[in-house]
Amino acid sequence: MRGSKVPLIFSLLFLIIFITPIFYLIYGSIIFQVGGSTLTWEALIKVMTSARTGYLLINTLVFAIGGALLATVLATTYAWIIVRTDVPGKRLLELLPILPLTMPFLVKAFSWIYLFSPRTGIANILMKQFLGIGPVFNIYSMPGLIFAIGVGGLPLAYLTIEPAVKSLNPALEEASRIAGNGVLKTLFKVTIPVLIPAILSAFLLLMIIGLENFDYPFMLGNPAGISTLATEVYFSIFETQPPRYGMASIISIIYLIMTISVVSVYIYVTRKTYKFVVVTGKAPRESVHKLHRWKYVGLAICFLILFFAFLLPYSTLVLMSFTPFLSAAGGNIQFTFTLNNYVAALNLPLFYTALTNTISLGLAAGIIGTLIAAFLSYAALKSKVRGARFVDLITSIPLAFPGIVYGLALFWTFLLLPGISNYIYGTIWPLVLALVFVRLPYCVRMISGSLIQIADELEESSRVSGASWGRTFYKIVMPLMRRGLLNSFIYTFINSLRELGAVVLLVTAQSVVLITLLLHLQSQNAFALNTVAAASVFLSIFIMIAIALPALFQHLLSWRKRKSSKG
Amino acid sequence: MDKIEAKNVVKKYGKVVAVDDVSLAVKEGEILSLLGPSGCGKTTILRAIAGLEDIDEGEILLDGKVITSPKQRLFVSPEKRQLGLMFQSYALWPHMKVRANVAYGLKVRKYSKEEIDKKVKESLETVGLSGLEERYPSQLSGGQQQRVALARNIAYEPKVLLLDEPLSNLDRRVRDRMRTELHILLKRIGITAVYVTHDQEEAFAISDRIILMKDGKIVQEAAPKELYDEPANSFAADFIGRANLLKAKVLEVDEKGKSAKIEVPEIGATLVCRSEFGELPKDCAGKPCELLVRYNEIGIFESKPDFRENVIKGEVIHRDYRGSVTDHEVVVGNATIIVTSHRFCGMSKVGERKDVYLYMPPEAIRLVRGA
Amino acid sequence: MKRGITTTIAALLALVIIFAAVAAYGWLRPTTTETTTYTAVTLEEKAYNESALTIYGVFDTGDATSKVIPAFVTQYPWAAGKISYVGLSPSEIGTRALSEYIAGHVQADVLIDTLGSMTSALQGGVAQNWTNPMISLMNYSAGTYEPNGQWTVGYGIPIVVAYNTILVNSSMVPKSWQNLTDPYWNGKIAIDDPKTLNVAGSLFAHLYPILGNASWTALMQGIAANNPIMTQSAGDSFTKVAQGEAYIATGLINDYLAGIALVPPINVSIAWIPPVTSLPISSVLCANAPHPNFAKLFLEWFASGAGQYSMANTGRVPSSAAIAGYTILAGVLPPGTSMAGVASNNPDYYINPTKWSDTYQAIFG
Repeated sequence: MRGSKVPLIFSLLFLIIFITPIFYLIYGSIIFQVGGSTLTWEALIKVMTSARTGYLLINTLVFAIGGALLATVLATTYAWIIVRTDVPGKRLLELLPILPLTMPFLVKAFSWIYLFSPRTGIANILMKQFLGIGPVFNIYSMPGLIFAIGVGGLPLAYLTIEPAVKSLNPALEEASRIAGNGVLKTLFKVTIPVLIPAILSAFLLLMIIGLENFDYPFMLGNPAGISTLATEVYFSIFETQPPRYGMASIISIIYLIMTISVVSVYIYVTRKTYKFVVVTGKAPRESVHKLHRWKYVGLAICFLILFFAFLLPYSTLVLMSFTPFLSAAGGNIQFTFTLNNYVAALNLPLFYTALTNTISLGLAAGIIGTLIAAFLSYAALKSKVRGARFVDLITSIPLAFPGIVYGLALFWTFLLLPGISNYIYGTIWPLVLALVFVRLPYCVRMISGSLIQIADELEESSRVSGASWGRTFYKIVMPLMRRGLLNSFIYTFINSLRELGAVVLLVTAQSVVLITLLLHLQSQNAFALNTVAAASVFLSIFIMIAIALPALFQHLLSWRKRKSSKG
Repeated sequence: MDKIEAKNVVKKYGKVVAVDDVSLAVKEGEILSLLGPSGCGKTTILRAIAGLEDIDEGEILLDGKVITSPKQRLFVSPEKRQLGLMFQSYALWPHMKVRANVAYGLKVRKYSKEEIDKKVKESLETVGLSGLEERYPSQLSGGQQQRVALARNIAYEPKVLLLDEPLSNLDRRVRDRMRTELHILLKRIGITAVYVTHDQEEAFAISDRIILMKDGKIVQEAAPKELYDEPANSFAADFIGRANLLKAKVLEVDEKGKSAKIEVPEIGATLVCRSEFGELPKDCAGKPCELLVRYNEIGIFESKPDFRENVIKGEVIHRDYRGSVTDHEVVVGNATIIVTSHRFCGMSKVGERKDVYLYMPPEAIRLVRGA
Repeated sequence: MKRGITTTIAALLALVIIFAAVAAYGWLRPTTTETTTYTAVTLEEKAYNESALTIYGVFDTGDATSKVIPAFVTQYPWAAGKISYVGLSPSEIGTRALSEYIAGHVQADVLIDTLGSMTSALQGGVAQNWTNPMISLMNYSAGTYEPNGQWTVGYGIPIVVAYNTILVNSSMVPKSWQNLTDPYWNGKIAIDDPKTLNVAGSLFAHLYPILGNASWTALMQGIAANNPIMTQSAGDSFTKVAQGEAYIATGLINDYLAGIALVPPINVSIAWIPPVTSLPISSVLCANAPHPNFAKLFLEWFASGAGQYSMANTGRVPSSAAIAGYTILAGVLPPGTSMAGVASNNPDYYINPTKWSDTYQAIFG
């Protein structure tokens, strides 16, 4: 159909609005030539070839690849067990991998520190107390970092791999079983090779997330002297005197070169997959592998995965919130319980400001991000061929931007942009922009999944009936995309509450949000850890509500629809 | 004035020419079919008329006004053309009830609530679906969905109704029934319609006039009967009815031009052909042409029948039993001739015999130019 | 004819017009200009007219809102609810103030920060020269304020070396700085990153003139060889030693006092290694401050008896020597201990912060 130009115009607008900060990323460092570190060609080359940069690159890569491997293995195992075997409790097990999303990475880091600090981690102390060995665990290490982001990546890896496992043709595995191979052999010889595209795309996606992650290297790597590109950008500005803006820019550029390379591979590998979301029905019961007694082993494995991904850190968090500050030296732990931390959290001077800001931020980012993604998705799917590829690429640009780099770019944009910045600097709008930008590729993909199922003819018949393009989009396309739009909104909302890297440089006095408040308290105040834990529990409850409410709402809607159409 | 006019329309997709210099006109109140195999360009023209496609060259006019013209850089958007379009897939909006679907076009045109209710009710009555306003499309059968689609289109009284293979998704039985109903309905409403289909029977049942297309060009434009009786070339002949085509050479034509002697080398026989309708194509004389005789217009006998001419002997190599009819594949000389026989005609007694005699009535033999 | 495109263009045009209007308004919005003449009566009126005050400060927001600001409001009741105190880390204050100043978007009127962390900001022009009249009235000693008026009085916090009493047995408590290079302390020391020029950075800089280049470098390298745990702040270091994650840490005395007041109290004690120094926290009147008169009013009050007393209430040593006598430190410092402003013996530290930052980076990574 001869489409409207609106989506394409929107795409160009998006391009301008979101790429302008990139320009400022470079321009800003030229303006802020404080302390003699400026962005010049020589400086760039010098840094690029320095040993420290090599060190940073390796650290970042090891962290990202290790974490992605771990997450992919865990997710594949979990998905295969609950989809392809007769393990009990599937209905519940299907929903549980979402739970870890209720804990921001930063908050999980608090839990890990509490558990696995070399001397005072609860786990180490218990080991010493009951087994006499230790200290066994040290979270302040590269393996610790990989562990943290590996289990933290479970939800996303699962959400990517599970649909692929579900759409597996059981006949493939059955043929292998009939030929005499056992369950495990079938798994490795038949199932996994077929799943490789999905596993590969999950791996790459998680690797990108690991590369761009700020939270864990900041909390867990820095105390041990492990730095990554993300922490280097942050510390160049905030922890050196004077701030080295030029260096921050240079590191950002190097960072971008690396992430763009990996994202290009990712886009190439997945270029067709998301356009053809295959939703086949559930595999019938009869075609799962019967594990007999081994199914309890399967159940135990799933439980173990969930334990590390969610149960352990969350229960630790709750424990922390109900106990006073503990001095664990001396080897014996005695817990006393108190509500003081919750009282203290609610009495925090900035708590309500941060809370209001956080919720407003989440709502604004969710709505704006979803709208933009809807237009972009439409442009990518329904425009004529050349335009579509262009939009496709544009919407993938944010994938290559670590939150902290984009946050830096926005920091300068709103500091330097003439006129407009007067009204925007200091408000939550830079944060909204940052959050919309970094989540956009995911939103577009979610919406595309819905959009692609809307036949062109539904729009065409509306046009012929007399409705303009705009009316058609509003009355026909958007209602039919409801599921994708809702998912996109929830996803953006939840991640706005969790995201640290993109906001840490942008919050100002008036625009503080919960996650940066937590960070500030934990790193600047002595003895505040338990209060922080209590505040984190509040945060996680909000996220849980954000996940549960729409599901409830949908149930309500479909119940009403069924009732009314029975007339 | 013609309701719709297309002048020298050309549409290309890259190197492929989907519509190659097509001109047509639709009269007010007429039902015109665009008939042809897939890829012949019929749907493309329909969509171009609807405004869902652009064209590269030519013009399209509605009620005498130009609505598409690349030369004048003129393109009226689909919502302004006041047309209706029925899709093969019904394209009912699944999130809206039947009432809302039918009311859609009326709401756009800003009718008052009472008027909308009235017209919705009327349209549904017209298509025979009163009382189903509160259902969702997913709760209706295929046939019902198609009627809703029709109701939706006629509710706002478009100038022309365009139909893009609307019955193809239906079961055979429903399709046949709908075919007749559609024709009656369209005539009763008196609306001008352009109907696209690849099914010859459907086109015949529904339309006043048929345009047969192939590879983007118009092959023949005629009323159904004429198309059937006098196909313009062998493609038309084959497409319109199941027919045997044999290469032939005209030996002599009688002075009145009403009958001819034809030599058919492939079967090694000379046949007589007589025209019921008028003159035989004169320019066939001496030139190679093709002979057309329909499957169901050939007699098949166990023993040699008592006719003066056009009796040939052949061998049955295959039978296709289809219940009410049987197709016999008969080899005669170098050609394979297919004969369809009915259950109750005496010829069905031919049973298992392999050797048969075929009789082609001279009136059943037509001459066509090579396609 | 092409209605879709026209509506889009109209919408875009409307957006552009709105943006332009907002920008124009923001640009043309009058910014308050101030004069530096001071008369007692009209300053309060001028401050009143400015109706808001923003402070970027380095001490706890809790202390600010429960002890310091209420004391100010007691004296000026009309200021209730108008003061915005933003607690930030020492280096964040310097960075933000500098960035905002360069970009022309100054948000803070007053900065209260460690001198070391503010140095580059000050050199960047963040402060207005202004002589606080309270200085002469209260007889402040030299060293507590900058003669040109770049920065003025605040308070100090004694820097202490705290050790975990359960983990460290009394024989190992260090008596000199060199003790910290003992391999015993490998992996057991917590310090805030020296290159942020905060507590540890200033403390080490103070030792430089005392030890001389060679010994000092050896000391630094020795400590670095013990793989110290780098923390984000003095508070963080204190948390670590209180938990037992570190055996010993450099920190600030107010954290110690808060810790022993907890129930149960932390198992931490202080090793008083001479010289005992205190981290100077100074206050600054920002250049291009949005509310300069209100700021001046506050800074005057801050330097007055009432202001200094309110700081003492938070466990910090006010710059006013007179008020310092009232501090709750009495009884905590060992008798005969004298305190110097940290790195007051090392002016180079405040003049060339970059050099020191780089040096620390080279040694500690």
